[in-house]
Amino acid sequence: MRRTVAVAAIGLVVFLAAGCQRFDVDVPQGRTLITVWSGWTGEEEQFFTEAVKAFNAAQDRIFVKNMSTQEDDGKIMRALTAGVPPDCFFLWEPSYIGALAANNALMPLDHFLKETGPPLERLIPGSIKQGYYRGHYYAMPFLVDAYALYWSKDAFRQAGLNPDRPPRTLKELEAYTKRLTIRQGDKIKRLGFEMPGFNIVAVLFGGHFFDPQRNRITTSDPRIVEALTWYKHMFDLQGGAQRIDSFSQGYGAYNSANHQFFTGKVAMMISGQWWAGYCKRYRPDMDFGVAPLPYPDQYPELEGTTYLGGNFVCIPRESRHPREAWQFLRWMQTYRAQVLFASLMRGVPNYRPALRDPALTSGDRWNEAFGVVCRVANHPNARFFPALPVNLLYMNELDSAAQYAARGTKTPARALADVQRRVQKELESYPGYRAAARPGGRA
Amino acid sequence: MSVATQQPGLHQRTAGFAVRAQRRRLLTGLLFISPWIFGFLVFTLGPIIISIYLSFCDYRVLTPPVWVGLDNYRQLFHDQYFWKSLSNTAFMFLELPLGIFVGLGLAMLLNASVRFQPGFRTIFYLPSVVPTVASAMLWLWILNPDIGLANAVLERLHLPTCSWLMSATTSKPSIMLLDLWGIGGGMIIYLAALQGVPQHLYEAADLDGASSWQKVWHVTLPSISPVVFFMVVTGIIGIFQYFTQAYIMTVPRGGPEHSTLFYALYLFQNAFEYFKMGYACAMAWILFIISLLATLIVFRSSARWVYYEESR
Repeated sequence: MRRTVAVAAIGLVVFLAAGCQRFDVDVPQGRTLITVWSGWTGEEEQFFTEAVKAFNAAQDRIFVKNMSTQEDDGKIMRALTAGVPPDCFFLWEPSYIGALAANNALMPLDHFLKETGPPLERLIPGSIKQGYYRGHYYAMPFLVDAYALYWSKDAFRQAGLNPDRPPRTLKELEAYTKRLTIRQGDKIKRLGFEMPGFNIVAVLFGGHFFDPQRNRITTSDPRIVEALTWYKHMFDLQGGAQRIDSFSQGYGAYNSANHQFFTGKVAMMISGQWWAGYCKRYRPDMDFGVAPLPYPDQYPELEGTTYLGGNFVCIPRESRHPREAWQFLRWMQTYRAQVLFASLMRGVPNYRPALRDPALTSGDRWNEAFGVVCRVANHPNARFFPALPVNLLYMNELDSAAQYAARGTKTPARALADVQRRVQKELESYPGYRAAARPGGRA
Repeated sequence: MSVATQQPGLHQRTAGFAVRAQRRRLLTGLLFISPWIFGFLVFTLGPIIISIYLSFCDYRVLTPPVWVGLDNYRQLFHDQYFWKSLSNTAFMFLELPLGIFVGLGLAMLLNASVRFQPGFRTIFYLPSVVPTVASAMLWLWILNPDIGLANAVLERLHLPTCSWLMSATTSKPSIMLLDLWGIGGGMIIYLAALQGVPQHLYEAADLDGASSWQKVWHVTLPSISPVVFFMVVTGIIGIFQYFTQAYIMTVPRGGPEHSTLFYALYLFQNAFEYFKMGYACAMAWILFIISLLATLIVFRSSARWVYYEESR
């Protein structure tokens, strides 16, 4: 009896120990193993693995291993909380950068940047700045996302519009939308223009979300109020927000041939550079066009404005091999790595010299469409959401405010003032943002 | 033991053996359930106790908790979404009487001996086999205002159509509709209870010339009241934790216009999206206290309407 127990106990220990052992890939002799966590799955995971392979082949000191976290930043959060993060990781949701930096979870990249570059002026203006938080760089994109206007040339022809002349200003966009929208009684048959997220519209009007000088959330910025007023107007023009929400609930899956743009339910839409690739994959016969986003007629200086996003890579403060991880990050910003990854993943290179690489931007009409978005991304008017510790809340609140205003439950000014008050209060709970000596406020 | 003290010597020794054997048995027993004890202490009791502490802290998950006293609780009372989520959750309590009415009604119908009775029972039970997530996805299509089945039927009948989940006024009733569709689990419990009602009570009522309604009111309901009581208590706790349907079916989450921002959903957002774990812990404890009070009230009232066989 006692012996059986002993044997069982030993067996258990051996089993657990085996479970704890790391089943590593064969790391070549003399190389440092770097683990990177990334959220890409399926085909995209393959693309990233290709990039990792290229890095491993390009030098002989470091060996990078990719682990897919299945599109879930939660795993990274738990690893950071437990104090056992990987050497570096990609964030699926850039809104987390500010929160992670504010909570001291990330390693500042400034001294690395100073030592080895890349020179910041060689990166597109809105790329690495997305990872800039209170005086330090904390995150770096491999590639960025940029938004442009896509339109269906067939829909334009049906409506009697010149299929090669996209709307250049918001007034034109409005006129086109009126002509392209098809309604039958109470029902919408085709949307002229599918409204993007309000954060993009706010940027189109030159609105600013945050004032770093005064540490203030600036949702009540007159430009943002103007943007929301226009946003509601565009919904009303096409049948009202609630009707359109109902219509868009019947859309097909986003990443599929059933997407409303491919089924003719939407004539114009705003999407990222990946959309050209989707057009090629799901509707290779479709005649579509790509153009920079339209700008408000009253603010011609805003021509060329777009919105940038992306997946960002960070080095956690507790990384065991920060220098080696940086080597990998630095390599990502080389011409070769940028073109290689961009050609597979269809992200916009953020290393400027790579933007015009003919392998990416010429050859067929989808590559040319991609080239248009690359030019848009490099424009000085390309904007992004500033890194703040409260970004997830801020985004949710903006979405809600846009919904309240579009449906007419709140006026745009009121909805935005509510966002500003709530997010500002939350922001002030972070050290460094505390209001100095506001009457009635706590220090 | 008293025997042992009266007669020292041999008996004491056997008593010692007995105690030792008993202790051994206890230890063996404990050893066997030790995985559960370990799991309970580490994964249930431990976190519960720690969450009390954290509810008095500013805890942003990535940095150590900082004691702030009652700050979280004070903030909650000034948080409009706290009240909004609480009132949204309170609205869902309409589901409690509805659930009892529909579940019990169905059970009574299915208790009647008709042809194809097992077939009917299967059909009505079937939806509750579908996982909540899957049925939520399914109902998204049924309730689609433009191309959904629900509005197509209404249109056929020349009735006004509805915006269902797309409108702030009908979003919560729409979710209730989906829940009532999956009432099968409760129905089965009522059905079992109905079959446990002593037949002689009905016979006695028949002899007294009771109508069917009187039989339901005076025989059936009192007899199954312990089961109704059980369903009310679990229902209350379940509604306070209402989450999945809103998490899956609404865009933006909790919308439109925060009309489906339920308490547990807001708690989740604070804990896992906004890095406000201390605040979320405070919310959890308030929820616990409210659920406890509601359950206690039901328990107190039960003496008046729950009948147990041995007592009456």
